[in-house]
Amino acid sequence: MEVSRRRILQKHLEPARPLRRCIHIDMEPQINAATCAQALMEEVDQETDISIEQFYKIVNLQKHNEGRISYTRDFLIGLASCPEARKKPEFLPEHPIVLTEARDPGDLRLHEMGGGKEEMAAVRLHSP
Amino acid sequence: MNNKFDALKDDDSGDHDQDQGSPKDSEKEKTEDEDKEQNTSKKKMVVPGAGEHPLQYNYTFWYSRRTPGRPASTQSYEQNIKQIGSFASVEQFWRFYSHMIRPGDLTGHSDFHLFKEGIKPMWEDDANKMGGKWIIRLRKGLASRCWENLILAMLGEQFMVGEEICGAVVSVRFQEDIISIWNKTASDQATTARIRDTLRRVLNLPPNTIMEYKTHTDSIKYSLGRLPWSGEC
Repeated sequence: MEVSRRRILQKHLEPARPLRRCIHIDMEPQINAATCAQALMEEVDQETDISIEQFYKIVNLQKHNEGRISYTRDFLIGLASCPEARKKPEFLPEHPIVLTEARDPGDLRLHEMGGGKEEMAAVRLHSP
Repeated sequence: MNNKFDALKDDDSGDHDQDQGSPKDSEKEKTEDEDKEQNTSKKKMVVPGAGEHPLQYNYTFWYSRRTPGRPASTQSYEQNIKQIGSFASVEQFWRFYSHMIRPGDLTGHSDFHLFKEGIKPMWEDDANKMGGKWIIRLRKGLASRCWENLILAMLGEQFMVGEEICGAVVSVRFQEDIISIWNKTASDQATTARIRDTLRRVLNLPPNTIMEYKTHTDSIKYSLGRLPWSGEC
């Protein structure tokens, strides 16, 4: 029962999903609550390392966010490369930090795949 | 007033926001051109284009840079802070963002600010005066990515603290970069805790990253006197 309620909740949240990836809908109906919770924990752990209590807290918070327009990072980034997002703004002041042509939206994230992980690891090493 | 600005000359903490005097002073010193510019943008409120993805709030990008060798004063702050543009949809955001250099490529003592439209990136603004900010100091090389993750979370309403968020700042300094997120009510601990937890999640910070909450009234106090025990502001 728990499980099916949660599924309905997730559906209502479209497209607002603070957790980057949510429960798969195609679960077997006879899966019991414990297995399901385990699956949830694994899903969540991969991305953020939060506990199941925190997960429920976020789901509850999300209820407060209903009626607000929210987007996940991945969704926003998905829109970055569409032609509408690449146009030059109508009013753009002339300024040294303003570019005449749009930068490639992927350049930062490509960089992230290359050097990014090492940088983060370096931060960890430096921290006590 | 003078003492305040003198004290700030050496401040390197991202608290450039104290550089300006009272809003009235700044009004007087604005040039005619700037007045025109701001009036036009006020009259013409941005709206999402047809078929675009609307945002919960409209936002404005600002840029500021401290002129080297010049004392920070009301006038120089007013000249140094520049409104880049406002947007109301995801697509409009990307248009501005992709036409601005990344914070990691900025040089000198400079800041990008992204605030809700109508809120100035200064603690004197009505929305900020009771507020505060979470500050995270970053090793060089991380600012562009952290800034992007921070503002995407803000625009996407991932903080879930109602109307509390005012804006975000990335400050490029000599040996480190600082990102911060400002909220309205510094005394609301439930809100500030929730912002902290969301920051950790969206910035993917190592668990022992130091995060500091600073009320704007404290920022003002320390900038006035530079108390010996307050350390770096």
